[in-house]
Amino acid sequence: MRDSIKDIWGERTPHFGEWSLREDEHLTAPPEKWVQSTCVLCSVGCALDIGVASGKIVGVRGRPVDRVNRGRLGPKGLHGWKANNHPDRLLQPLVRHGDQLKPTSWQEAMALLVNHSRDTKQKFGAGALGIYNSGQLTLEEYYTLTLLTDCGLQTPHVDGNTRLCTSTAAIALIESFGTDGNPGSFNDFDTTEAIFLFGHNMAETQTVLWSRVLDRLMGPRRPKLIVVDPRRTATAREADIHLAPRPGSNLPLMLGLLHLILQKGRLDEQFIAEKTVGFESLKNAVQEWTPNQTEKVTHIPPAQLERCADILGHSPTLVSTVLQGVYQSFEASASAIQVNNLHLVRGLIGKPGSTVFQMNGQPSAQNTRECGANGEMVAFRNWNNRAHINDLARVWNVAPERIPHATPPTHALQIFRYAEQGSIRFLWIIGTNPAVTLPALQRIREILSKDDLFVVVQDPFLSETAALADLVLPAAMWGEKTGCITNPDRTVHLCQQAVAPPGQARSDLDIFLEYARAMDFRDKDGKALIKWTTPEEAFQAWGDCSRGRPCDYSGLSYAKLSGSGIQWPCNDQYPEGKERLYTDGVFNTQADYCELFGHDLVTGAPIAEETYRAADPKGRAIIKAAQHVAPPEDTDENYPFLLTTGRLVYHWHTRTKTGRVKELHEAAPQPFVQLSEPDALTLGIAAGELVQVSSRRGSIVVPARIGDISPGEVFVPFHYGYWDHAAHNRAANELTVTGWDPVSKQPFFKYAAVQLSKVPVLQS
Amino acid sequence: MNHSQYILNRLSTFENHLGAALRTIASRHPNDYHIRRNCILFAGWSENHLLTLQRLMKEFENVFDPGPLSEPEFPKAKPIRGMELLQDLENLMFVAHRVRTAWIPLEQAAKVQPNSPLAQAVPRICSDLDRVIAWVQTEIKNSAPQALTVI
Repeated sequence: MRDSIKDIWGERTPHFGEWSLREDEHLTAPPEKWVQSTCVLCSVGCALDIGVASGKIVGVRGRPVDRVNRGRLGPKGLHGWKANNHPDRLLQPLVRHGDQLKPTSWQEAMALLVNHSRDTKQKFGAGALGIYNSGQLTLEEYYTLTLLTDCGLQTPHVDGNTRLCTSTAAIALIESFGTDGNPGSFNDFDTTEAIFLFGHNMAETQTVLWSRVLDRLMGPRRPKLIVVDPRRTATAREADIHLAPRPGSNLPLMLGLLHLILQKGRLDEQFIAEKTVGFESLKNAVQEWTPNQTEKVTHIPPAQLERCADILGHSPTLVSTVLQGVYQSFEASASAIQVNNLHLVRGLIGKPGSTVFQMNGQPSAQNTRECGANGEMVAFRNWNNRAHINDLARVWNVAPERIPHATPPTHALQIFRYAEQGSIRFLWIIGTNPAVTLPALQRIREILSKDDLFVVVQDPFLSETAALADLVLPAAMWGEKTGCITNPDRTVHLCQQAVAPPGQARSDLDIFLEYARAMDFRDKDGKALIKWTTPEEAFQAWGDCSRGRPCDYSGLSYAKLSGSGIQWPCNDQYPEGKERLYTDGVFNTQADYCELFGHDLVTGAPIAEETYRAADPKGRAIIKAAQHVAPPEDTDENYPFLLTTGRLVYHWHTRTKTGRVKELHEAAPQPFVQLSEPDALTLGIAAGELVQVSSRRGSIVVPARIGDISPGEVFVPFHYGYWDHAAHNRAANELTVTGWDPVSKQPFFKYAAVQLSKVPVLQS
Repeated sequence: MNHSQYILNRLSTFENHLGAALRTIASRHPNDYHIRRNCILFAGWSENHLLTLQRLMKEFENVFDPGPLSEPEFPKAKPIRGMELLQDLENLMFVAHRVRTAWIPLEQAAKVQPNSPLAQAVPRICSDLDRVIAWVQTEIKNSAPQALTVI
């Protein structure tokens, strides 16, 4: 067994074409049985088997049969399961009595949940109820939750924490191609001649996919690698070209690259003319972004920009990926869409070795979006299209008016704003930890602590958010329940229950089903609104609901998913799934089929249905230009550094799981602030010395790490909260800005002005 | 004062009012990020429109300085608790529509003078104002249900 803490990506298996197998394994005892599952500690979706002995998880092994990872696992996948067995697991419901949370029975907990939600709705209306869920539940749980919230509670205030990680991915795909869903396949990495990683530190955030890229870089016909990241990360170190733009300048960078590519690149004129609309507006928008103008904003030297544009403009095949460096920064949607534009003007989409991945951040973020647990309509239906609402009402056997669709869905930060203002009075938080992950944490803690807000938290651990709740429901984790998850290349994986949940913990699905029964939600014929009682029945119902939509699961079943994962759409036409979308150059932009009618990328205002229909793209992709506008705050004398936040390879989100795994915790036990050598010299800060980092919102004290970042910029990992450390502020989101992209509503986590000061050592 | 000068002067006044209204709303709702952000952005657009108006006035040989942004002609009615944002957005909609309407004569003039300075500048300004109005309408739709059904 390799030591994946030291050898993160494992042995190299260089390749061009089919990626070879490598079975990774980590066991602490011999298993009595193996149970099929999938890793949920990043978004790649690596298939694995869970080893079980004496009713406990004792290890995992990769599944070589699977198309995604071919048997490989990363350090979090190999070790993360140990959190299931941790003594900190919540074993029974808790209810608040004054300052304390005290154990209670499920009967009392469910009664409290039912009474508070019912009373609040009766007294103040459905608009007083908010639901904030996750990117880590199963498809079956999201689908059940959406039906429950849409037609049961009928609240428009539902969102997932996918708002923080992939709402821009969804919007970028919808704005360009008509509906959500990445067009390509992970197999495209195996043959492409160029890889463009934009704001995507793949080496740390998707270790197995990075192994695949490393194997290409070490193998025959090495692809060119371009990495855009303000830091010199492990990913950037392997790049042929590393562009380190000033934080907040992603859009100018893309406009500058497109300026050169339109001028000198090999454009696919026929594809542009026949398969797209909007090219002229892009030409106009990039005109002013000469290399010199681009340099003024991005700090990228013109020669480097030209080298990069030369590769992107001439490579016969190209795989681009976009992740949090774009999504959590300024002008997220506009920037991500320009990467789509790059592929459209070059005609490099829907072909082997050529695609764009608007990447996901969480293991089932794709399902949050597909199932409508982010507030959008189910199965990529359009909330603004009456026919789509009627169709969904038919599937659910309810009156169309019962499905909230009068306004765009309320996004996460607006839900918290309504709670702050007092109009939301019941907030159910499921599988997520906003007391560490949302921006401007002091404000979030104050909201969660309000007397007029009843907060329910459903989680496997007593997270920082759960500690502020009025009612805590103990949830089962991965390995303790059955369900499916879907990754960014549309591969659907089955995760079977391997062990029983500890104590009285219950699966999220069971909690939703019991709640729906207790609320007595009915359809229009007086029958139970939710007609399933098991995960497999929920999956079958989802197959019916998604039939005919882009994410068509109607051809999938648990039995069919017992081997490798399978990509959607999977239906009568594509019984084994479809590897690539848009292979015929026909996109999902038809007015009657598209998921949204688009947005003004600067103001965020939705485009009216009649406006969209008047210029119906009718299956052509939309090349959407964008204007750059000034960021919400900039550096000044008081706050002279720009902060970005992000992930470390050993941790997942707020460490509720990985922080409780000895190997992962010891590999990265505490946060830090990364600053450049010149800045450290100027401030007299040495590596390891404590630094106070302050913004207009708050401050933290963390040790310094020096190097691999540009002067004037600093980085703090966002994983660290307070459940295992209460001595002083250390969470990165004490510093971040309450602000979001106008279109995707994704908050800015990678753009805030801060100041640094060395913390004096106290003399004893 | 000829008719062109009358129209330009009136537009300057209305654009001034719109810019001031936008800044007022931005300052009244500091905890509503999207309201503050877009109102400040649109106030910048209004300032650009005023600069364009100045240039057009010179073009028409009417020297006129619209001066700095004036006090807003913006309703100061007592806000109703829970309705503050909705009230402000409704009033903003009125002010924005008034400006947009005032631009229509120049928009029409530009259509019949395709090579004139008017034709260079006016369509962009009208498009800006249409975007402002679309956004205000969206925000009214978004905030109304919460204000009406909950508070």
